[in-house]
Amino acid sequence: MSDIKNLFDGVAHSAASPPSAETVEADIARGRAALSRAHRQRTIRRSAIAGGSLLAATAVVVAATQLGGTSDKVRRGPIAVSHGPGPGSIRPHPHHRTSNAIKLVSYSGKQLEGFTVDEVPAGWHLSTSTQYALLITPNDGSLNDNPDDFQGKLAVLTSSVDEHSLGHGDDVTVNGEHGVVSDQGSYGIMLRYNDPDGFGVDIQAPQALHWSDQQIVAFAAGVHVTGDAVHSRG
Amino acid sequence: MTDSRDDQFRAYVLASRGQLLRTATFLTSGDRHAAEDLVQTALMRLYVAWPRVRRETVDAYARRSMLNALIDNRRRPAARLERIRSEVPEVAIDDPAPSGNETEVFRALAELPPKMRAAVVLRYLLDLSVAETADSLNCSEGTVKSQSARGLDQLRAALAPTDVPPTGLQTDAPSVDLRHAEASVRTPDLGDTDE
Repeated sequence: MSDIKNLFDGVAHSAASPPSAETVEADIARGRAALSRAHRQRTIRRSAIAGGSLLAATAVVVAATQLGGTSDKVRRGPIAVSHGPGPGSIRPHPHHRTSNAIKLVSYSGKQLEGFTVDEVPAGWHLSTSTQYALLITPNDGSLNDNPDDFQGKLAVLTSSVDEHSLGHGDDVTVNGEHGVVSDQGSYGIMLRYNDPDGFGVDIQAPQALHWSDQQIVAFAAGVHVTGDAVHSRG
Repeated sequence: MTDSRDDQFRAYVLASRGQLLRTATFLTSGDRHAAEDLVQTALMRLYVAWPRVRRETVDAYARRSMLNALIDNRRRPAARLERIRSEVPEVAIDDPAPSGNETEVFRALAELPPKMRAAVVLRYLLDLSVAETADSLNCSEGTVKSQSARGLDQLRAALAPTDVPPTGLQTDAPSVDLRHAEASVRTPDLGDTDE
């Protein structure tokens, strides 16, 4: 086989030359676009599943009522998450400069379905929520109130019951439970953690907040999932 | 995570894109444009999966993505149809004229079925082990041995010089004499196979 190997070794070396900066940036741009599409598809899938689950839940309630029984509505106690020392180091992401980070301020306004928050980023407000997601946006009106559009928004999500992994990233601890903060590129960062009952929560912080691991965990400390929230699927 | 996804990915692309493109050029039998498409597709998938890919397996992931893209393109011809756009979306790639040797090698590779070609390329261009090749191609080690052994035989037959060169063959290309290499065809790791 050495003859073939020698032959191969002498061929197509021009293809192996280092790529230009323009080529590399084009690869990154394509990757970002693909990631964006993946996020959109996931959001659409979740919304579709959420709609289906709502219909199914309604059918169950109606059936139970007609049979004279009581509906066993899923209610969960609030999840108190607190920021504690994690097994891994907590440090800012290079792309999210903490010097520009938007600080958290106490929130005393109206709470929405599914979740309550103790704090919000300064200059941001609760935009909209469903049983599956709470979206927080800047007060300047630059982002829409579409509950299915997470672009640029601070999002609190119930995780899918079909997802059993926290993924890879920085290990942190939220109320004594393991969490993982991962970099989402141009989308910012995501914290994924489970409460002691295994109820999973995902928090997506957009790059505009310039948050570090520590800051997203601090925000999570003020997030409480109410009995209205339910897991998504898929 | 010491760097952001973009920084890590950029460093990987800078270091590895050239080798990926060279491998893809072999996989596509010298079609530089198809090779560039394969690399772009593989890197796009790699970017999306970046946080989940372990650093020690990133090359294997990129390689598998490239092979999957190669097979996907063959399975779904409609997916290869070009879309008309009002502006040029991509940067043109360098497309140097192939040397005489390259022309012969790629012509011979083009005669191999894609999976056999991939087995030969992974084994003898990238020096992957039988197990690594099997993992990349998602097949058994026996299949790899069989495919790569047959691929070698066919390459040797295609590249062996003939007394009368076929019309149109580049006769000024360096000749490749493989007649004396027959003894090495059945190497220990390429012995009798299960297929």
